[in-house]
Amino acid sequence: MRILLVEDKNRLREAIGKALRESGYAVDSTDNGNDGLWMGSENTYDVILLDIMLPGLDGLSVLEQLRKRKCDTPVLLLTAKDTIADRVKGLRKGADDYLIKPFALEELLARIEALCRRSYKKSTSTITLNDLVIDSSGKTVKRDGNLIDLTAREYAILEYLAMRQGAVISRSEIEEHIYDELVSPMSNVVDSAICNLRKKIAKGPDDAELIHTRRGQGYILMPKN
Amino acid sequence: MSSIRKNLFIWLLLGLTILWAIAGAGIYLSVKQGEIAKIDAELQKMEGALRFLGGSTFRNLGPQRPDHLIVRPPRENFQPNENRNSPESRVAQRWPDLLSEEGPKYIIWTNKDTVIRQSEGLSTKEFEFPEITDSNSPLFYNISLQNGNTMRAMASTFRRFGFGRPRPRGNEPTRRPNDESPAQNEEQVPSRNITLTGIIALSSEPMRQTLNTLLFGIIAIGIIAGFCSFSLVHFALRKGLNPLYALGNKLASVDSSSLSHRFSKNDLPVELSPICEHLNELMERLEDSFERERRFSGDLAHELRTPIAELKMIAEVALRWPENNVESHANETLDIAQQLQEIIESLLALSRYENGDEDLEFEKIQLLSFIKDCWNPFAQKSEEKKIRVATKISSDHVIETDPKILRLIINNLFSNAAEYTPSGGTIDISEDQNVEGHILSISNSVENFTEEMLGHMFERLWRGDLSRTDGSHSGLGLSLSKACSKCLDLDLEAKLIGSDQIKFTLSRNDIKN
Repeated sequence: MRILLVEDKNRLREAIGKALRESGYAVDSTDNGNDGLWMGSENTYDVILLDIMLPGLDGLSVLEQLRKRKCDTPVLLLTAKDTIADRVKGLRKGADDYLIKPFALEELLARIEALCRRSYKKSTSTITLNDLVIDSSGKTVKRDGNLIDLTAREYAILEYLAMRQGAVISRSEIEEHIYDELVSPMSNVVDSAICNLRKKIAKGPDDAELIHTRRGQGYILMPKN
Repeated sequence: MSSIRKNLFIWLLLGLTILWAIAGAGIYLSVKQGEIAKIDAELQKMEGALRFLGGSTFRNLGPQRPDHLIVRPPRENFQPNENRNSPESRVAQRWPDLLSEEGPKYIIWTNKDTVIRQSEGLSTKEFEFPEITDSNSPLFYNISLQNGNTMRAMASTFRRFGFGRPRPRGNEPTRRPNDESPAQNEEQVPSRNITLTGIIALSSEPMRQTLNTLLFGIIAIGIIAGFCSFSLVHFALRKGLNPLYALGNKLASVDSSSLSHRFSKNDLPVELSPICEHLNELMERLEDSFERERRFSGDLAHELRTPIAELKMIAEVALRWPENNVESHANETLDIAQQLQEIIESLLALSRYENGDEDLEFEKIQLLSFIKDCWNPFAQKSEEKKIRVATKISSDHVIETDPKILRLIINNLFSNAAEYTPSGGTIDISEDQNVEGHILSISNSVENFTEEMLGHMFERLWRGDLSRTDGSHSGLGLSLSKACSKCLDLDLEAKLIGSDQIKFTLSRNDIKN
């Protein structure tokens, strides 16, 4: 999942960015509203974390502009403004959630997960595919009850494929959602990660694959027949 | 607690009651006067009867007229005595009521002790001889009879004029002037030109009955009018005070979320218009105050919450992923703690100076050296920004002040000037000894600064940068300077000169005022 973080306080931005990356998210961040608007309009994000009091363009104006540009990415407003009027104003401008500073990291992560689920129309944090169970809150994957040890990147790819199970997802789409601006993926990094994933989630050498390759199109996660 | 409605109700009702009472009394008295005047007029008409009766009493008693003065009517016209009218019959003809038992009562005296004529059955105890001072005008007064009735009386004096002996009547022998026989009679009969005193009185019972009926009517109407007045005043007050209640209800519905509401004068009576105007002015002031407080709360929340959020986030990340802990986290934590400490100390100092809790220690200082000393920490920054700094303060300018507090004021002003003067701009520090009370002016170049911002700049935690990104400022400096100035009885003012220069002036309050 790829997240855009727009926060002008350097220390806070860096801390949140670090926490999100450690949690398996790809994070792009900026410290002003103008860049935030540009990045939100040009890239595809699963969630946008937006501060309200920003230099340049303020957060509410960024939100308004994004919605005008038909960008329906879920937006979580992060702000010190705590009055009901501020919250109502933010939500009415098109925000999907509102979190008041200071907040707990756990709560921020839970809200981001909820927003991600909402954008992929999932109601629970558990995605089940035959005997494969992906728990997006615990960031764990189990196959036939056995815990599978995945790297953060592998988990992110699997979660993304699972969120869009049944749909063919191109390599570039995976790159867009899994890698942030700090990472310049090489041409075969996705293929390599998929290969590793297949090996890790397979129950044995003869086990039918859950992740299928559509040549020239991309990958699809489908249950076994 | 006094009530306008209650007070008005009482006073209006009392006023109306008094008015009704005065009107009733006026009607009663005027009717009474009218009735009395009518009786008096009646009595005056009867004065002639009194004179006639008095005169006729002496007709057979007075001195006889000389025979040669008697003009006898021709024989053919002579009528026998029996055919001629007696005085009583003439009175009865002319004043038919006078001789009746129920009619007017009269009494005639020659003097206080001698009654010569009176109505039948009249008690002289009830009709006392009147003391008339002016014989030309009759005296009117009331008489209470023993039976409880009252009468209106008119007392008057009149003369009984005539010549000599009265004319003989019937078989009465004609008297000669030299006749001596009537001498005895002349001694008994008073002179014809005597003064008689008479009272004629009419019963005032009909008048009393009329007045009683009138009084009863007035009282009955008064009671009805009282009830009507009560209802009318009650209704009128309720109706009249309704706009006041409506205004009160509107005012009661005002809360912090509806301070932008203004009361319309169109729905209110003229008398409430000034109140409405003052209320609207009050609402405006309240709205400004609330807005300022809201801004302050929001700014304070931001100033405190953001560093706390940073602190919390850094700590949580460090705890959750301890392998990534680096020295920078500790440094960041320290920076945040320092920032929070500065904000809290500034707020506490502001509160202290605003409340005047600071002990002042005045001493004489040389302004120029003091200013140079204050400027030193900012000199490097201004050099980096290539800011031209000009100081025009005479070396002999000495002021008596608390240097610790003055340093706080000047430091904040210099800090702002060094921070917000654009690169290549100017800072002028000057004194104007021609202006009484003037201590110091600091003016510097500014960019994108408006009059509206000038109005807010002394507010607590106000910052020109709405995003409040820069954590090195909290927006308390100028409000702290203002509070410190007040503490030293100085006035700190800011003025925008043109659109690119702001000038802070520090002057003494006592001389200025």
